[in-house]
Parts: sequence; structure tokens; C-alpha cells
Amino acid sequence: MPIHRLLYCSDIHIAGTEDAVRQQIAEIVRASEIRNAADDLTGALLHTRGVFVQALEGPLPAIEATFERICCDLRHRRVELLEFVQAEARTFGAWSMAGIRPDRTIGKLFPGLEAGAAQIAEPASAQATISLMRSLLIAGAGEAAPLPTSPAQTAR
Amino acid sequence: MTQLYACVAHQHDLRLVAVAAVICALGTYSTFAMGRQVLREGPAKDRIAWGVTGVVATSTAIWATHFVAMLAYEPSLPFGFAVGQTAASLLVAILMVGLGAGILVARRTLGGRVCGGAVVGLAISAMHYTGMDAYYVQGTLHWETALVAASVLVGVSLGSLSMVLGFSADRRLRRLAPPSLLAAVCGMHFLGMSAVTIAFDPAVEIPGGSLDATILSILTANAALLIVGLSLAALRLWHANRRRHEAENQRLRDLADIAVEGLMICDGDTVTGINHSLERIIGRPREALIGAPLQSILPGLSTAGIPTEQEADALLRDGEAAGIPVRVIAQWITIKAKPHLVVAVRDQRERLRAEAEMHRLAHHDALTGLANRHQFNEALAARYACRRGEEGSFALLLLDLDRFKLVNDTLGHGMGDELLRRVARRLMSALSEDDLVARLGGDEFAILKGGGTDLPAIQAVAERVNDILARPFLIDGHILNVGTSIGIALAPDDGETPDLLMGSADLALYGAKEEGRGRYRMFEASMNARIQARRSLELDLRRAMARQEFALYYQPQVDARTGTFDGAEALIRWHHPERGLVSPADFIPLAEETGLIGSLGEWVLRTACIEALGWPDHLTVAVNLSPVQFRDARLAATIRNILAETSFPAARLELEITEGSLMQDEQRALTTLRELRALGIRIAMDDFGTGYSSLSYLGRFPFDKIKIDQSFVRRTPEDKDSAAIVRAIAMLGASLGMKTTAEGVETDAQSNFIAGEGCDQLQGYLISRPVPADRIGGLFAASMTRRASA
Ligand SMILES: Cc1cc2nc3c(=O)[nH]c(=O)nc-3n(C[C@H](O)[C@H](O)[C@H](O)COP(=O)(O)O)c2cc1C
Repeated sequence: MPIHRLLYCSDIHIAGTEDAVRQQIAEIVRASEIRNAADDLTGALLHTRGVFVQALEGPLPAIEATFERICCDLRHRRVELLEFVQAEARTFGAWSMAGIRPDRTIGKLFPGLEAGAAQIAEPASAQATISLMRSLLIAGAGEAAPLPTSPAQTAR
Repeated sequence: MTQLYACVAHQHDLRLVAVAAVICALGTYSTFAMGRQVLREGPAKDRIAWGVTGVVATSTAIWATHFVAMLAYEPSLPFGFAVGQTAASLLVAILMVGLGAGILVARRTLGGRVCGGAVVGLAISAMHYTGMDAYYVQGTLHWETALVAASVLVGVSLGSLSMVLGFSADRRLRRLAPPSLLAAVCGMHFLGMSAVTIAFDPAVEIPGGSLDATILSILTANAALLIVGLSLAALRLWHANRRRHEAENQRLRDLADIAVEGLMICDGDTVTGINHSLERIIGRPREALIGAPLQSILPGLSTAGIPTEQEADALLRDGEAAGIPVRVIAQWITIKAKPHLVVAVRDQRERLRAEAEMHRLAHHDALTGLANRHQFNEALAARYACRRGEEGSFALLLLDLDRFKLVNDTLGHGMGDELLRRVARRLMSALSEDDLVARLGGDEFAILKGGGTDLPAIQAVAERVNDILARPFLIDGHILNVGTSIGIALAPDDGETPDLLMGSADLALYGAKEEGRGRYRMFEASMNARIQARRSLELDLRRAMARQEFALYYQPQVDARTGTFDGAEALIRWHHPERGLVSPADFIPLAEETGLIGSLGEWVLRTACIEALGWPDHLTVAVNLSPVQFRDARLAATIRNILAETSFPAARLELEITEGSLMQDEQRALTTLRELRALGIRIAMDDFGTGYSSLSYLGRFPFDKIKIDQSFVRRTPEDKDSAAIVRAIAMLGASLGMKTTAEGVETDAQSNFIAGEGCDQLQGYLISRPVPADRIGGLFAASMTRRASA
């Protein structure tokens, strides 16, 4: 079955201390993991410097329904769709929703992140962003999410 | 014991003993049959009647048993009975049995039964020994005290036992009661008789006036049989009657149970009957309801207060707190000569649900489930009605989707509907419960915000709505970017009446759209004037067509290499009688919004064709098409007609379209372009380079010409980026086999640079300003003569 993939970015809109915000995001990731697994969706949610970048892949109807729910969510603002395409295979096949929060050392390894949201939001770099997110996951920046047993097999 | 046996067997006439036993058996049977009627639930009057009957029957039986047995006694001496004492003994029996029965009824415990039974037993002895006093015999009676005591004891204990058995819960035990009372009577009597020995004493005289034994025997036996028999017959009759009654009641109940309505019968304020339907409605079993006061089922209604003429609304109490809405009506009927009230109860829940549903349908938009215009108007009017003072202020937000028509027109109504549903859902997520969201129709929504006119709060809501509707919608693989504009008016400052407030919000919405869509505007008093101006412009625009205030100007295009005329672009001008020349930038968007663009565009096409007919026949005329025109499916047919009407050759007509015409539904755009080209018309891509993804369109659409936007042209050759863009476009055009035209050429330097980069055509002030039709003819004619003379 053909799958679709989308990538969007948005501004985090959650009030509270840094810890509280992080906790809420962890909660979003946890709930998404469960729900996405049921919907046959996979993907990753990166948050850094006040922005979310989320990749979501799976069957078209499930993607559209989930994205609509995400678009009803007031915990972020200025949702901007960066890519919505058919894909050959899943990039995040091993994660129903992986939270990514690069720490400083790992962040340094990926200069694209240092450039911040502007770079991420560049349409031409959607593919690059997805690759980056995947690399971050494999490099161990995933939050709580266990590493896949063999991530290489799920790579495209 | 042997003494007792000898007494019964040898001193009695056994036939009469048998008669006594039969009377006694009948009597004791009726004792318990009637006793049970007394203890049963029922009208007090009936119970008293049965009690009296039972006491009389029992004591008569005891008394008759005694005397018949006395007749059976054969002392072999003459004997008789004293009338007074005989009667007194019956009285003693009645009184004491009555006392026992009273104890039994008053104390319905085991103790009561033991006690009551003992008194009945005592009654037997008392009657017996009073009766013995009435016994006259020619001799003296000697009593053996021990046996007398034994006889009393037997009477009391067996009497007690019989009552314990007779009113016990166990049916089998109850059957043993009459025999034990029989045993009490007989045992007492014969023990009592064996306690007596009569010594012949000729000195004793039987007093005159005493009853003769035979007469007495007939009298007592008949009296006893009559009384006992009558009471037993009455009992039977009563039972039969009751059974008939019960059957009748059952039939009535069955009938009532078939009824769909809830029915209940009340005796006074007490519920005495209830049918299945009502049981079901209340949700409690009949047994729990019968005997309850009417008010516990219909609180607040009394027998006197229930309507008998017309149904009235009431609340039925069920297990839950809320109660069930019902309609009730009552009727008086007579049951057993007593007026009863029959209350019919109709469950209103189904009807109310249906009504609520109809109300919902009438007040809600079927597509989105939001409130509809009707309900919105009511709510707005209500706000005005109850507002007075500070807390009466509120905000009204009017919104309309920025690009909904495009979706509806290009992707179909199904998609448009789905989009509206999702918009509704997003609005609900962005707003609070206190806010009323309504769909007024089409893609128009309104929000009645609760809670004051705190400006930051209202702006936060507007921003939230702008944000949430600016997010893309993904429907069936399409990405729809719709966006919304919002106009906000505050009551009561911005409108004294609902209509005025709506008008203000509408003006603010207008302002938001003018400002570039996707944003909100608060109403300002100055908007009135501006909008008024715009409205009047719209009116003027409609009139301008009829008054022929439009004219076409033409700006020539020249060959970049030779400088000769290739043709001209037709540009519309509006000579307003009062305003003077109105810029197309001011009235074209208005014409697009109002739909006037259709006829205006047709007029431009037709006029350009007619006027260009007079030009030298190698010159082309270029006409701009608005995206709105371009999306009209009848475009190709319209143009074909115009060409046919004017006999203008299709090859000399060039249509200029912008990127806006191609977006959204590329498939349809492609079809239209192909149709137009099939007519022989040339297509130019206007304003190239400014758009978002112009480059990608070039490969996919069949253009004949690219017009480089003047913003780049004007900055060449100094600005390196612009120069590079112009160069790239010229090269691209050449490689794709499309001509390139540079617009807005103003200087020689630009002209030289652009020509040098390989552009095909030039257009701009350097060559000529746009000129009226009559002058472009002259311009072309002059060039022709120049060319001819050259
Ligand atoms: C940044 C972000 C990412 C989210 N990602 C997902 C996701 O991948 N899957 C999901 O089911 N919900 C996701 N959610 C949560 C949804 O927005 C929504 O709250 C959730 O699906 C529950 O929706 P419901 O209450 O309408 O069922 C995300 C929320 C945010 C703010």
C-alpha cells in the first residue's frame, strides 16, 4: 500500500517552566505513540528552541485524520506544512512517534539544528530535515524512546 | 384414663356423642376459617363482621357440643336443665371466646396466640361448668377435684395449641388446628364428665320449668347447626364472590396493562392500582407503588388538584432526581360504590426528544452542526434584550474564509462541504463553551463572544481563530490553504441594535480583507466612510457598463532587435464622470469580487478585437484575463463566439494570464489552455518571476510567450540579481521555444541590456505610454508609412 509522509513545523505554545513544558511534550509524545501505533502511523517529533518539527508517515486517511487533530491543537501555533508527499517506504518505521530533543553535544554535530527554525522551514530542505531527524534518532537523541533493534533495516 | 373411657363408653349414648362431635367439628372448622378472614388484610368493617360471626359460631358450637353431649349422658336418673343457666352458659362462652379472639387480634405474636388460645380454652371450661350448673338431676353431684383440674388444663392447653397451629405460617400445621380445638372441647367435656359422680338422692327435686331433654336436644342441635352452617355458607359465598371479584379485577388489570398510557387508580390519595405501562415509565415494580400516596408519584398534585378537563403537564417521580415529564388527566369512576380517581399518565420524553430534535434542526446548520443564522439572530437579539449596564457589553466576530470559493469551484461541493465541517470543528477547538459559534451561510461564520469586551482577550481569540484556520487542511490528498478574515464589533458601542452591530462587524471584515486577508480588524468609525465610498464605487461600476464609461488604451510592443511594432496590449480605463480616471488597480478587484468581471472582461475582448481589426494585419492585440474569467468553464466558447462575431483572426489575439489562474486546479487550467490554443490563440504568461513557483509552470503549460515582470526589468542593468533573472528567463524562453517580452522598459540602457540578453520584445514608456484607440491606429499607420518609405 502506498504511504504518505508529511513534515510540518510549528511554534511551541505551552505555558509553564521549562520542566513543565518538557513534561507536557513528553506527554504528547507518549499519547501519540499509542494512538499512532493503532493507526499504523510512524514518525518523529523534534522540539528545539521553541519549535516543533514533526514527521508523520503512513496511510493517507490516517495521516489526514491525525494531522487534522494536530491542527485543532492549541498547544502550538503557526503550523506550517513543509512537505506532503507519497513515499516509497517509511523513514521512521521503527517509531510510532519518537520524541527528539537534541542535547547540546549532539546538537553541535548537526549544524542544521543550530541554524534554528528558519533553516528547518526552508521547503527545499524538507528531505534534509527528515534525514537529520533520523540521524538524530539513531545517534541517540531520542527521548525515552528505545532504539530500534536494527534501524538500518528500516532505512530507505 | 380408664375412668374417662368408661365415662364415654358406658355412661353416654354414643349416637348423640357422634352428633356432638359433628357439631363440634363443624364449629372448630369455622372458627379458623373465619379467624383467618379477620387477620387478613381488608376493610375493617368486613373483618369485624367476620370476627363477630366467628366468635358466635365458635361459642355456639362449644355450647351445643356440651349440651348435646349432656343429652348423651345417661345417668339413669331423671334430669333436666335450668333455662337461665343454660342461656348464661352460652353468654359466658361468647364473652370469653370473644375475649380470646380479641387477644389474638390485638397481639399477633406467638405469645398472643398462646394467651388467646388459653382464654378460648378457659371459655370451654367456664361454659362447661356454668352449663353443669344448669343440669338438674335427682341426686347429688360429687366432683373429683383432680380430674376437674385436669379437664381445665386439657381445655386450656389444647385450646392454646390450636390457636398457635391455626395462625401459623405453615399450611400443614394450620390443618391440625381444628382437630386440636375439637380435642380441646371434647377432651375438656368428657374429662369434666368423668370427674363427676352422681349419688341418687330422692330428696332432690327437679325444679319445674326446666327444659325437657328432648326439646333441648332438638333446639340446641338445630340452633348450633344453623349458626355454624349459615356462617360456613356465608364464608363460601364470600369466597366465591371474592374469586369472581378477583377475576374481574384481573381482567381489568389485563385491560389496563394493554393500554399504552400509564394508568393509576387512587382511593383518596392512596394509589391502589397501577398498570404495566406506568410501572415501566416509573421503572419500579407495582408492589412498591401500590399503597403509596399519590404525591410520592406525582409530587405537587393532590386528588383535588388533578385536572379532569384538560391534560396538564406534570413531573413524575422516578428513581432519579430529575423526574419524568408527563401529561396527566384524571377521571372519577365508581368502584364498589366508592368514588375512585383514575389518572392517565402520558410519558412525554419521546415527544420532547422529537421536539428537541426538531428544534435542533431548525436552529442548527445541518452540515456543520453549528448554530444557524436563525439561532444566531435569536441569541444576538436576546443579548440586546437583557443587556443593560456594564456586563451587557460583548464582542461579535464575523468571519469569512479567504479562499473558499476557489475550493468549491475547482474541487467541487463535496470537498467544500468537508472543508466547512472541518472549519467548524477547528472553530470549536479554538473557542470556549461560552462562545456561540454559528454558520450564517456559505463560508460565513459568526462568533458571539461571552464575557465582556476586554480587548486583549478578544484579540487573543481572534488571533487564535486566524491561526487555527490558517493551518492547512489535508483532504483526499489535497492541500487546502484557506485562511480567514475577521471583523470585530463591540456591543453596544459599535451598534445600538443587532443590525447596526452586524453592519459594523461587516465593515470591519471588509477592512480585514482589504488589508490583505488572513487577519482581523476591529471596527473603527472611519470605516463607515471608506466602506461607503467603496459601496458607491461598486454602484458606479455597475452603471459604468451601461453608460459606456470604459475605454481601452493600447500600449505598443516592439521587436527588440528591429524596433518595429509587433502589436499592442489592451489596457482598460474608466472615465468616471466625477472621479475622473479610475485606476484598474482600484476597480478590477471590486469587479472580481462582485462578479462584474465576467461581462466587463467580455466587453474588453470584444472591443479589442473590433478595434484591432483596423490595424495592419500582422499586428497582434494582447488582452489580460483575470483568474476569475479564466476559471469560467465557458471561456473558450465565449471567445470563439467573439472571434466569430467580429471576424477577428484568432492568430492575432494574445491572452495574458497570471500564475493565479493556474493555481489550485492545474488539470482544469491545462484543459482550458489547450482549448484556447486549439482556436489558434496565443497565450502569454504575465508578470513572470514574481510568483511562487512560476518556473515549474513553464514546463507543464503550453505558453507561447513569457512576459518578464517589470520589477526586474526596471532594476536592470544595475542590479545584478535582476539582471541575472532577466538573462535566465530569456535563455529559458529560448530553450523552451517561447518568446520573451520585457515589460516596463523605460531607459535606453535597459533596452540595450535586455535586447542584448536575447529578449524578443520590449514594452514600456520608452517605446510609448498606453494611448487611446484612435491614436494607436495613427501610431501604427505612421510606422507603416515609415517602413514603406524606408
Ligand atoms: C506538536 C504536536 C504533535 C502531535 N502529534 C500527534 C500524533 O502524532 N498523533 C496523535 O494522535 N496526536 C498527536 N498530537 C495530539 C493531538 O493534537 C491531539 O491532542 C490528540 O490526537 C487527541 O485528540 P482528541 O482529543 O481529538 O482525540 C500532537 C499534538 C501536538 C501539539
